Amino acid sequence: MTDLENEKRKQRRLAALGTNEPKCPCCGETDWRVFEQDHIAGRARDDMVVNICANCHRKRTYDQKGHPPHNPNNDPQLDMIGHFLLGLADLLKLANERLSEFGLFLIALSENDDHDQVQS
Amino acid sequence: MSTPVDEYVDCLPLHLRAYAILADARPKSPSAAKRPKLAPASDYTVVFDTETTTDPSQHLRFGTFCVYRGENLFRSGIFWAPNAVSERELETLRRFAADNGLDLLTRNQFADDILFGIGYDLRATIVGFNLPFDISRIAISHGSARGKKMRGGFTFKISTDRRRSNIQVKHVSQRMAFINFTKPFKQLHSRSQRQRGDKIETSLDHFVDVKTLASALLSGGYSLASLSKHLNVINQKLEFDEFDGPISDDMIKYAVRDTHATWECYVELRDRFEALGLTDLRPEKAYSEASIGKACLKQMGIAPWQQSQPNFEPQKIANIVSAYFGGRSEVRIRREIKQVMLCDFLSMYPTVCSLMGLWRFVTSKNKVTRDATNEASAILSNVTLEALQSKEAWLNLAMLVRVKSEKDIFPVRTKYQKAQTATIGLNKLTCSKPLWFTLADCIASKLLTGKPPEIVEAIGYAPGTMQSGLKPINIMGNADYRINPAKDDFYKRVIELRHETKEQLRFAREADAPSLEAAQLNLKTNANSTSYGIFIENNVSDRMGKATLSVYNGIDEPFNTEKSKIEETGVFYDPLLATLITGAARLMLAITETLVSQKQLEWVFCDTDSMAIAKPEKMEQSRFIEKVQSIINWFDSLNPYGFGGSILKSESYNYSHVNGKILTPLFCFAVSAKRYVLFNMDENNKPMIRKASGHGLGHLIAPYGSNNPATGIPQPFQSVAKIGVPLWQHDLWWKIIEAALDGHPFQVDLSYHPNLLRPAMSRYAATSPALLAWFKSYNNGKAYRDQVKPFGFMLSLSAQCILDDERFFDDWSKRRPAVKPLKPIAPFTRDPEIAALNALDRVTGEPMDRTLLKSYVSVLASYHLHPENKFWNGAYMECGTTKRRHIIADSANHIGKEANNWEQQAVLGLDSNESIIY
Repeated sequence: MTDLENEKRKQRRLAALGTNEPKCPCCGETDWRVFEQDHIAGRARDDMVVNICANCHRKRTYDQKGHPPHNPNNDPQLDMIGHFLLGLADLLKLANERLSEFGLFLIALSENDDHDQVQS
Repeated sequence: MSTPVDEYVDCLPLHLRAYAILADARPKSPSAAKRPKLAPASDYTVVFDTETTTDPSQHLRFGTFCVYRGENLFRSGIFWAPNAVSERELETLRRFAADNGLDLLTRNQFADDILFGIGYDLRATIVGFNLPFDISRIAISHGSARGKKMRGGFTFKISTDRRRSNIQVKHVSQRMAFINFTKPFKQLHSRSQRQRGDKIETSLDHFVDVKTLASALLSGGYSLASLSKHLNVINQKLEFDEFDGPISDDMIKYAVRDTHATWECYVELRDRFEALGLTDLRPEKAYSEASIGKACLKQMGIAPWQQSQPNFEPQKIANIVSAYFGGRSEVRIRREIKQVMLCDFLSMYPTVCSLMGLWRFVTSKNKVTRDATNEASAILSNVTLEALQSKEAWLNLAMLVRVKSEKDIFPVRTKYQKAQTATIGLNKLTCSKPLWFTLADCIASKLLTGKPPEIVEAIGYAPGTMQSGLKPINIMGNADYRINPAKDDFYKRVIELRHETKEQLRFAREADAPSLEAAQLNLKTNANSTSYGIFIENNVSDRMGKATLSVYNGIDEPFNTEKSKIEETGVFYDPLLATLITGAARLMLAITETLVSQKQLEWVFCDTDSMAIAKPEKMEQSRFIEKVQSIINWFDSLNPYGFGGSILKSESYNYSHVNGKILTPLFCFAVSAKRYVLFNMDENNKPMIRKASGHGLGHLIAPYGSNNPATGIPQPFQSVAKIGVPLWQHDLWWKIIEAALDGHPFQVDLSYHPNLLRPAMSRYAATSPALLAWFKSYNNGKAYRDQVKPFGFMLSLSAQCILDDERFFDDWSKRRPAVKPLKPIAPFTRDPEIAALNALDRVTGEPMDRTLLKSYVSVLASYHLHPENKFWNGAYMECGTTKRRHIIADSANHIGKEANNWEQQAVLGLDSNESIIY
């Protein structure tokens, strides 16, 4: 495949993602090749999507399976809002994990003898 | 005591603006608000330009292109049209391309590999200067565009590959067009995506016309030559004239340079655009100053009024709209040379916005109305000139008053003297039905007549609670230019920042000057683009069929009517603000007029924010200057800004062109509204034109240029750009002044240049299918290559009146058939004689005789006599002081947007179909 063909695929993908500079809100990943669109409230409930990397999307989908199942007797509006908030909480949880990891990493780094070199 | 008979009474219907909405208007679908944000263009840019034949078909010969990735040149080359390039010319192109490392492609290769292969597939920004013309040149066929947004435009087929998109172009004005790719003739989504109902929205409109971007950012019309000079880019446009000859190295060099100049201008403008910091607006969507104004308001988190207060009653909007009139433009002393001092108001519209506290209205959630009848009566009874020197008085002007006018002086929009179009004149008005006016107009009337108008009712407006979510912005991304919309008065702050920047510019080092100049221009754009036009934005669209409209108006009951032209309000439509702004600006002029009268001075003309104050014959020069200065000083106390001085300024034309600090006698000769010339007298007592108006001349092609000047007329002492008109218009005004100075102002000698005997030509472009259709008979039977094509230039000529067509009828019981005026047009050529040979009547398609065409002399013969119909003593053969008419109006025509499609009408004549009368 030529460079031009690759470039076309990349541009098609970015157009689909709706941005030229995708960034995963959960982990900070920026490689356009691993991005997917995640329906925050679930595909069946709402169109609103967020661009996240495939790893985080997989984790998110796993968590989503734990959400209350679809009940046709529920008020659809409230059901949608409820699932949207659960989805948002999942994303924030992932971001939270990452932030905690990063915080612990920085503390570990600060305990390291070489931290001056790292800082410089 | 009997009332003296009023000599100048006219019984005419008023033309009042109405508010028309679709009878079955439904609120906008909420799904529109949820539309996903589309990706901006990638970092690829395709720049291209075309060179064409000089015959009427203006067929593509060859073109040049560059592809950039980021700022780096990725690919560049030349493309050529196989049916328009000879073997020898092709050899020249091959050699040039090989010598300069350029690719050489055919038109088809350019279309498929560059325009689609990179432009479309890589989502590049496609850049050109006057893109509609270039796109139409590379097209292989065209048709009428479809779809609500693009109706009235063209669809161009660019690629021979059927799966590829077409390009749609819809001309809006000389400076802007909507351009986009159509959806391609293939599935955009995979089967699984279709099954899931997934829709990927892609943006297909990354076209940037540098001409449009320049006019939005720099507030003016530019050619590529003038723009590259103005922006001081490295590769300026080259001069080249020999387009008739075969393709030569010089011609190719010129074309390659054009592409480079376009790219460099684009980069400079893009950087300036980005410096504005408007994250919600992309360069391809910056169609005008108004686009920037709207984006600026959005950036501050300001919600449009119609969104935040959707339930405001249509009848109330109609009352406001009926009180809306544009700026005041009049001539008082006609066709007499008068010594004047030209004074203009500092940023008139932002200034009155600030004085009236209108920013609070912009940032409020809603407008609160109150019955202000007693309040308005008290204000009108007590108001004096002195009271208006207080800033507090201006804060009370947010009021509309319904008055029963009895010889009060108000802006009156009507068809004076059976004119084809309605114009606005400040005249005495008597109307049995009460009419809505701004309080400012009522005060102006009291100043001018001495009596307050009879009030029926008044409504006061106050801003409601402030919108939440307002965000501070750094104008141009500069922290020094920070504005907090919740605390600052935006208009005041922007004008102050501009003043500061201009002060810095005066003492700046040479290296800093360009950035400061750009900054002050950007601030000017910000102030102007947010302070008026966007509040009265109406876009007229043509429908396929007729729609039922409910017409609300300020004088009669609402009614329904059917129209195919629909007015759609702009996003930030807020007619109250527009009405108050222009009303307050008219009050400023009325105050100036009153002061002029009190000081026993005269005035020659006024135009929206300026007035030429005239020296009475016997007054001494020093006394005149002193009195004008005292009028200027009167406005000191109304300065709302942090810097001192009056808001009325003495214009630079009042000062010597050699030493800008010495006042020198300035003379004025005014014909009618917006048609005037300002000049000094030189040591030989000959006029030296300082400023001239091109109003009513701009549509004509220059009959001669500086390479073939008129004899007997001195060259302009300063560049024509500073005078404001091209050389031939300067010469016309010079001859008009000369005739007036010689004591025969009615007879202007127009024999000063032989080219004036040639047929008068106006150039226009075939910007819509309807305009192009006039060349149907000319195009019939011709190959596509040789036809007049969309956006190709065409000529409009003027026809003599045909007296011999007024036939005698022996049967007087029958009505005489109307004589249809001839409407000559011709395929484009630079030679008026060839145009005359090819002229045809655009209505019948029949060829026209040369003798029926008007020459420049015929067309210009009455330019200096143009009537000021809205006033008495303003007819063709009258001169001196005009007097206000007394209009008795007992009925009204309800009208829509007045200036619809005016560019086309300026060239082709007035078109009654363009005006909207409900």
